[in-house]
Amino acid sequence: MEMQHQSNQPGVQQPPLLEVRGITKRFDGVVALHQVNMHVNPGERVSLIGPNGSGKTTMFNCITGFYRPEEGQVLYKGKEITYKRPDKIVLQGITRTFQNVKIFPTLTVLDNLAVSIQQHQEENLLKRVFYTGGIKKFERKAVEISESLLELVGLVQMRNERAASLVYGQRKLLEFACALAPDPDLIMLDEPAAGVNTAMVDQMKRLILDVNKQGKTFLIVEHNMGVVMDISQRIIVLDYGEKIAEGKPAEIKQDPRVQEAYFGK
Amino acid sequence: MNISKQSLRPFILPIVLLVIMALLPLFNQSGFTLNVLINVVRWLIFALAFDLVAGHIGSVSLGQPIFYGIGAYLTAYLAGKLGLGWLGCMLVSAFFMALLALLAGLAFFRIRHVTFAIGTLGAAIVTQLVANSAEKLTGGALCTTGVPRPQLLLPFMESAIKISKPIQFYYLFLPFLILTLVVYLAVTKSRIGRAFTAVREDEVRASAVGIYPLRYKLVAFALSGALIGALGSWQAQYVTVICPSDMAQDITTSLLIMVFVGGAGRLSGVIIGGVIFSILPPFLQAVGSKYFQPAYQQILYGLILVGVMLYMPDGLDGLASRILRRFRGIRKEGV
Repeated sequence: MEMQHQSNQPGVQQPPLLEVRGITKRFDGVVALHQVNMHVNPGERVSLIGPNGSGKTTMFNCITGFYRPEEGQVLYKGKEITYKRPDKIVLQGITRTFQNVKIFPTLTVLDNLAVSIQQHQEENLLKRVFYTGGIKKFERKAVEISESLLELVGLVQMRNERAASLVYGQRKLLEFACALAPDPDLIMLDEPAAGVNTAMVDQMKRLILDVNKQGKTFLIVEHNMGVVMDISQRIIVLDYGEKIAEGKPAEIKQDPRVQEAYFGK
Repeated sequence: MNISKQSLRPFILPIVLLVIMALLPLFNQSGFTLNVLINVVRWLIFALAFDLVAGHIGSVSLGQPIFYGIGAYLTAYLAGKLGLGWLGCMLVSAFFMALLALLAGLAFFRIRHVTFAIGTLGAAIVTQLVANSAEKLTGGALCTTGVPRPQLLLPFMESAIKISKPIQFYYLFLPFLILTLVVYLAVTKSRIGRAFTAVREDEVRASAVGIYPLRYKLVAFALSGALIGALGSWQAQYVTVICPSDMAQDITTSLLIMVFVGGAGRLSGVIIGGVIFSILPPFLQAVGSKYFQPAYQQILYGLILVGVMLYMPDGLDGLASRILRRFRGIRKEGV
């Protein structure tokens, strides 16, 4: 793993932000992931691709604590997070979106963002027993951050609408903004470009690149190959739960195993 | 629910309600009126506490009468055997019922949705059976009787007043409703309430924004248990008799009707439902007990509940706001 990591990124000396070691996940005997190793370096944009059912979303769920892998370890900033609860993992700085866009429909757009921030603010509060009067300040700060994010994704005019009234593309943007809200280090996007029109695909690509420039690391599952090739610095390919290839977009395009997995022999 | 856009709107209805309820006895002090009013207070507290879990967390517990019954039995012991004052009894009951709710919550929140409802229903039935059989402890079906009535001693008084008249009970009871409303609003209109909504709407998503669903479920359940425990304690001292039937399933049926017909998870909905369905039964009885046997009342309730679930999923309150919105919309178009 270490060898591979260094061979991929010869110039980088710092340890990976996220490291997955030999993850195996089974569902009633079906092996969804088999001994998969992968890593994501700080500031990188990595894509995880593969045909349907290859284990991409399962990998996401193993990293974020929603699934418990049978074997292997997940390390974040060098610390093991394998069997931690999802909420604990989020609070350490890994946020994610979901394939089937998840938002809180009866909360307003602004509250959707604020609720994504509040737990991160209060996490520190719980450690200080005699803290009083901070909640109002926290809430002001949360609203401030939320408003700037609404501006970023262009949903300012929907601020006080219920999230249920957003159309699909807007929901995706809101979910994306929610993933940015608590100022995480690693952002995991599950199919950010799926099901939206080309204008929105371009907007999403631009957003990812812009946010990445500010130092955020991205791990992305995506089916749209155009998007993957445009935004990834490195691509990891899964097929039937195993890693079959890893490399720069140009290398992956040429890789015969990848072509076989996608198009058959 | 919107906490980042604070407005005074949620406070209007409870304040209007409290003013009306505080002033009504000045105009009519008949036993019937007071009885109805006390009933309204009791059911509103019960329904608000029930809604904290059912409406805000989305876990419909059919076992809430347990806290009411045990709170009442506990008070019979504390006030009767140990001579604890009325307020002390309510506080101790509230504390222990919060504790019981935490323990029960740890077990019952492992199951969800319908299974949670069935599980808590089972717990309620078992508790009632135990109360029925443990004759040494509860008096069984013959009930525990002779719970002392509250005595009120304020600093400027020479001797305590023994609370026995309905009007005294009523005015001593009303602050408890105010407290319940304050707790309900303070919790649901805050960041905690926003987290409640998140947990109710999507637990997976809630975990993904750092919320631990179980923690918030336990908070809501314990609060609800404490309020209902205190209510049971109060009721024991008001009627002086506690029976296993005080934990019966028809209490839960009434709560379901009030909260879901009114509008679950909305203060105005719970108030509307609570007031209507605590006033309706005594009126139906007064108007024509020959036409409305209690058994028919249950059937009627069942039909109303099914109808509302099918055609008005957000209750009377939701219907009212939909009509208002349409009315405003038409007016706008007209201009």
